[in-house]
Amino acid sequence: MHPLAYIPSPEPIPAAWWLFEVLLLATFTAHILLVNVVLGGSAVAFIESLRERQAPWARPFSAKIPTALALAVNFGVAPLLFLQVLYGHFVYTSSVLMAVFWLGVTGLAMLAYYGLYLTVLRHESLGRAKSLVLGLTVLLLLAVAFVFSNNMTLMLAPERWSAYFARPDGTLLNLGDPTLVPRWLHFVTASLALGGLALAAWSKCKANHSDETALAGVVRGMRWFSSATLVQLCVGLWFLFSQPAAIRSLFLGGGSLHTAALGLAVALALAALYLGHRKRVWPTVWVVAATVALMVCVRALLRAAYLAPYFSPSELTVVSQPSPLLVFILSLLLAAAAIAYMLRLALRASAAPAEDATNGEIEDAGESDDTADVRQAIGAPREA
Amino acid sequence: MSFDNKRFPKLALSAWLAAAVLLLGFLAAQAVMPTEQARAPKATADQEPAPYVIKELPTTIPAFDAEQSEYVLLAWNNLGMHCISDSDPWWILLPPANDLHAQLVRRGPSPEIVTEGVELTYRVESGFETPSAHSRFWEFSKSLLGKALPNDAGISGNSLSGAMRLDAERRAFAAELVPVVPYPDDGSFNPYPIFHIEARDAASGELLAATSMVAPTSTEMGCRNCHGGDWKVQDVAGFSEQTSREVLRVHDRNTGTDLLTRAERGEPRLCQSCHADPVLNTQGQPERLNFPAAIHGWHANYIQGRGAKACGFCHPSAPTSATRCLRGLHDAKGLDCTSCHGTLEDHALSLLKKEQELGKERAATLMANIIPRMVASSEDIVGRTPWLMEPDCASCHDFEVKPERGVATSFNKWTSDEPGELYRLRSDDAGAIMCEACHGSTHALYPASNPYGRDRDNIQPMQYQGLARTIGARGNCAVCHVVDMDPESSIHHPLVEQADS
Repeated sequence: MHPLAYIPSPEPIPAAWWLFEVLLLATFTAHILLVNVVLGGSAVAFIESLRERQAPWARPFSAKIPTALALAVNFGVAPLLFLQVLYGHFVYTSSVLMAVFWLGVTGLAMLAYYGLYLTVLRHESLGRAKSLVLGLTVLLLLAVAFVFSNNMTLMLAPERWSAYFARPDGTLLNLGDPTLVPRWLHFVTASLALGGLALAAWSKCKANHSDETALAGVVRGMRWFSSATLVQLCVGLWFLFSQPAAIRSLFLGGGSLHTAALGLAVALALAALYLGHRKRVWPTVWVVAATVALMVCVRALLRAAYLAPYFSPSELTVVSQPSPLLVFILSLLLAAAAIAYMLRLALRASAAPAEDATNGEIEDAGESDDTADVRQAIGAPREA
Repeated sequence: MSFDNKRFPKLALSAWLAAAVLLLGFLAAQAVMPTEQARAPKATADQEPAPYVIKELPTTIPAFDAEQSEYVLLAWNNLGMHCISDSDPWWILLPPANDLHAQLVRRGPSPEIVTEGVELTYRVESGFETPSAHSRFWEFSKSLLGKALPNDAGISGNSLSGAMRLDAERRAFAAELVPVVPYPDDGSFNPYPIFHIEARDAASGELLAATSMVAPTSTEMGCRNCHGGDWKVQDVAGFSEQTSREVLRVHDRNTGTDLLTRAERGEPRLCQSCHADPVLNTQGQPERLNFPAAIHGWHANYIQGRGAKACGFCHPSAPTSATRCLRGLHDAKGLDCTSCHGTLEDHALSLLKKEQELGKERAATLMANIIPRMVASSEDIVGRTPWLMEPDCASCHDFEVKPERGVATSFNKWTSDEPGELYRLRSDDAGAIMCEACHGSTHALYPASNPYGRDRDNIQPMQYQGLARTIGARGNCAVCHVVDMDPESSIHHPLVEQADS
């Protein structure tokens, strides 16, 4: 049977498709940066925990990762919704085909979240078990990534959906796809680089010029970044050459937009590598952010190329509904402003002495042991 | 729970470790364990469906002597495709039943239609004579039709060979409901069996004329595409038990019937025993939707926005299928199913609308969420009675200008429910030759391109004029008239000739 027969009919959309595509790309960029930091940061923290003498930055840096995970999950909602608006008839189908794993992501992410908090809240009492918890947490996060890689490749391949008839119980994985493993590794390697860069940036924020502890964090973080980015160049090549010839050729001169986007992204990655080597943290951060944003666009071009035989979002029927969209955009802006303000308050509170943060109005005599542990873990002093 | 500094960490750690290991282990096991239920073992993730490779079959063109032959015998199937659901032990929606028609012309400057003093017979090609060896229809005919049929006899009593009856009104001969199936004795699938037609002098038995024709018939109905199960024959056609049962299970679940239980007791039903259908002349239960309205109306709620592809999910019309029943001139001109019938949505709405007009409440329920594609709204849909109100040729053909390639549409322009207006039953302006006698069957108008042999559908044009075109086209009036004629003065209908037609 022709693959077209498996694809459900798309729903009409309330505004021009490109608007949702832009929102998808923008929100996904923010989401994937955070996800990279969570997985990479956890991996860096895990490997650090295996050392005999832990670096002094290890614990406070680890304490930031649960927050990053919470943000990553929240920032993941928007791109998932936009993905469903434009490509719902593909991603819903692939999600149903692998429902057991797809629903399992919730459990995996929650357990990873608890694992990260365990290592923060019970840093001392866990002792050597801390490495086990961190290692297992990284494994959980890798599993989440693997499930996502499966779904994102399966949604692009309706011709593989007939495998449902052999595995109709929601346990279908896209293991036959030659791009699956390199795609997953591409993300994992990027995460290691971003985790290192996050460590360097966080250390830089903490550092004053004489703070050698923080500077050590910068050095270690940038080393992670540079090494992982070097490996990434190889993994990226593998990912590129694992693509079907027709799609690969688009990015190798066949399509001017495809080639330009990939070429520029690679050039930026090389620039970031150079800056990383020079230990120039903030320029590296900005260049990497631009690289990731561009790579997200390349990813969108890849998706479009895969779906071209079946669908283009420009084919979607537009039933104009400006008012809900306007309310949505206003809500998005207000929420973004509120979150930014909240983060600013949180950062000020963690940077300032406790009584400054509360203006001395709240008595903290009833502070629990846990709060004290967190305070200790993140290096925030408590006044007696 | 209070956090006890000594006990809580161990408890929390143990619980967390157990949960993490169990979840990872469970998911890993799901990934590697074989599934318990496989629905279509032949389907694989790594194989993109490829067009079915059809082996061409030899087509013999009978002899004709343009100088000496006294008669021209034209024969055709009326629909261009008859589908069979050979899900006989469970249910059926269409039995084996093919209609054969023929007209005998005595050649001359003023040709005559011959209806008296002659006997016309039909005979299926070798290998198709015993459909009961390949279909269980006869085993369950009592339950399905209310009367037990002798093996290899059809609903009308006709078998795979016999005499054709005179249809005096149309000055033609017919053998209705001939129970041919697409399964020859060699175990293959062949949806285009050949019938040999002979006209003899009734008194002397002298052979006056002979020709051959296809009787298209296919069991390639795509229920399995959604309902699961395998094909029954050659991995291309027929109903497996699993598909048949699943269809009943879903029908029972959705409508509260007990068809599966009854079928398991050996009492399969004909769909049209409840849902009326003009094609089988069943009255059904008057309050229920007729069968075409019910089946298209229901499924149009699930399959939307697919254009002509939707037709091929169920009917054997897909260009990659094993039957490819849309194979005539209209197909060559870039038209598809939707050009005449509308998309599945439009088609369903047109059938439902007529039922709604007849006061059947169920129609509105099925119509509520179907969005028409070829008209602005359901209000613009013209209701039609299935099989009796069909696309009208005159909606595109005015006999002055050729319709525009690929864009002409006759959707919503139906014949009235007077059967005489139907292409398959109409005759020319002179009331002599039936339209299909010269133009070929619906869906297979000359020149047709049959996937099982290029001229398998063009036997008579090739036999009488050596040209796969409408009988008499390109100045071939002499096929019947013996002498050349002026097309301008045609009494059949005004002729619109075009070099590339």
